[in-house]
Amino acid sequence: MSLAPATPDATHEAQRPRRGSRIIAIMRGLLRDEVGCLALVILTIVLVMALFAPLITQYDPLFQDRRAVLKAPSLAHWFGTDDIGRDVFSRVLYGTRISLFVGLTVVVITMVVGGMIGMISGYFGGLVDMVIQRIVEALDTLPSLVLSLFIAAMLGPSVRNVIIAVSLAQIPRFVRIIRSEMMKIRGQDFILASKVIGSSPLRIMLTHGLPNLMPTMLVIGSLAFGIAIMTEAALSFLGVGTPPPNPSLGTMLSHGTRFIGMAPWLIIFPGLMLTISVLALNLIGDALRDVLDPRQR
Amino acid sequence: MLTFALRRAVLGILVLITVSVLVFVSFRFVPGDIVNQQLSEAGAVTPELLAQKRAQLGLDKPLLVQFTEWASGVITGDLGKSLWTGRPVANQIATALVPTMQLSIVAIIVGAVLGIGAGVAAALWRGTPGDMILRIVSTVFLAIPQLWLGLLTLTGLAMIGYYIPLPYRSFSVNPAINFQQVIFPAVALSLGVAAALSRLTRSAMLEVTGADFIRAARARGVPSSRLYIGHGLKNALIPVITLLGTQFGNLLSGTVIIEQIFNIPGLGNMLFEAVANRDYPVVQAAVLTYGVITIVVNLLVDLSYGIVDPRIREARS
Repeated sequence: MSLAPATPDATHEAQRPRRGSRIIAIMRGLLRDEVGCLALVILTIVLVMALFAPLITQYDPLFQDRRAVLKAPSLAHWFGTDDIGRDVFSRVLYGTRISLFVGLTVVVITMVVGGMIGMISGYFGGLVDMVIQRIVEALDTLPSLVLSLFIAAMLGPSVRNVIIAVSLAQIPRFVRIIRSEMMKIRGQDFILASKVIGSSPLRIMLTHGLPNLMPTMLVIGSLAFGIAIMTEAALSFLGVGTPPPNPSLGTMLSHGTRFIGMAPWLIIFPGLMLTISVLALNLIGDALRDVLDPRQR
Repeated sequence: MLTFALRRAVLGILVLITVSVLVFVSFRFVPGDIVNQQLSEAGAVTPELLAQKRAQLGLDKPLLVQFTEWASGVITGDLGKSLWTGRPVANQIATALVPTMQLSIVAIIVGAVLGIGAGVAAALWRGTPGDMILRIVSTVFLAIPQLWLGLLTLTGLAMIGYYIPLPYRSFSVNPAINFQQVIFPAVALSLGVAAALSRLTRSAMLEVTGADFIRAARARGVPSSRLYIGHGLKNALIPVITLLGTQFGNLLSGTVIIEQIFNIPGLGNMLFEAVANRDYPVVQAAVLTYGVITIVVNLLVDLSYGIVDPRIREARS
């Protein structure tokens, strides 16, 4: 990152990348990476299946067919049916919807809140940083699921509360990473120059901090997406997550434990969907890191 | 070394104080109150009864007084009594801690052996199909939620007609039954750790084996097995130990789920029930215990750097 020229001439203006082109460059790099490409394809398939669930399956995920109870996978019911005759395939699709929705919301909240707090902490240093770091340290001491469980159980089961609980458990890690990245660029010339010409801290953070931190944010964001999906499932499994009758993958797994050995499809398919989604997100995170920081390859 | 350890311990205690303040404050501001819950279960809620019960449990005092009383109790080893059962919390924690620690320690050992072994093997076989397979397997296991792995283990065992004996027996009561109850959940927990470790071990090994001192050792005729284990792994160990520390936190998260799946009466189970019952002293103590475990693990990780690398030991004294 070099100092912007004091008198920008025409050639420099032409060379400066336009806003948004960086994202396109990243996407292009991702597509060129074999693993990244494969992961994008898998994630797209999962997304399409979740979004267009009503078009893909003719079964209502809540409809109970009493004549088809605990049926093994067949042509009529691809993933079988549960103990009250609900179609597992359709429930998996609708459950994935909730998982992805919770995951995406958590990532956005974590990126915005964690990114902001991290930048503030890293930019200002001093007392602000001290206070923020002590709180982050304290939250970091608790295993993330313990923290989420504590918050979710206190607030009561609802999709909104799951999002709050999972976000709060993810934010500390985000703050820590963004803070250290911000501290690295804080003393660099282009920030100092911006300070000298009188930019406000907010402006410096948004116009200089954010674009430089974006690659890091994207990488940890995609990993956080996977963690969020897993945590949502874990909380729902424990009964403090997405409340029934909503078909959540975690609730389905918890339901399936009652028929373990008898109806393995109740365990296998929801978990498989969970794993595939997390795998795709992790691979995208790995590929992004390779694209953005080729030294680590 | 000792001053370093002491300084870290003091910092750890400060963090624990922050944790307990956060938990204490957040817990009391949330709707749902144990007194109400208990009385409505008994079938009679009158304002007088509510106030009486609150006074009896010490919940009518100002928050700051409650916190000071609790904190001074903790210092003397008195964690208070469960609001629900009236049993001393310290006893409950001690009982629940045993299975959780047993589970995590077995899991971290299995995970470390599998992970470091696979990582070294992958580095040795770099570029061969063996390396490829190990990398794919570790990437997949990194993405499998512990929740599913635990359930798959149970499903698999049920398919071959094996059922883990219940209820839980501690190691001192019945080692044979305890072994069966711990080994399966521990292995299920360890695979994620192993996956993360093997990836890191591989890249750390490859980085080290490119260094000059390895080339020099090879030139001196050191056999390659000793080269990799004695020279390579020893120098790759620092990042591996760091990851082992962070993975312990993930492992503890995993125990909450795994304990539920395998019916093990550990800390996670206890916390889960206590939060649902709004049993403040138990929740506070359980959360604090998780904090203590993490801080002790971090301290051990920090101290082990000095053992592995003499340069760090020198710098600290």
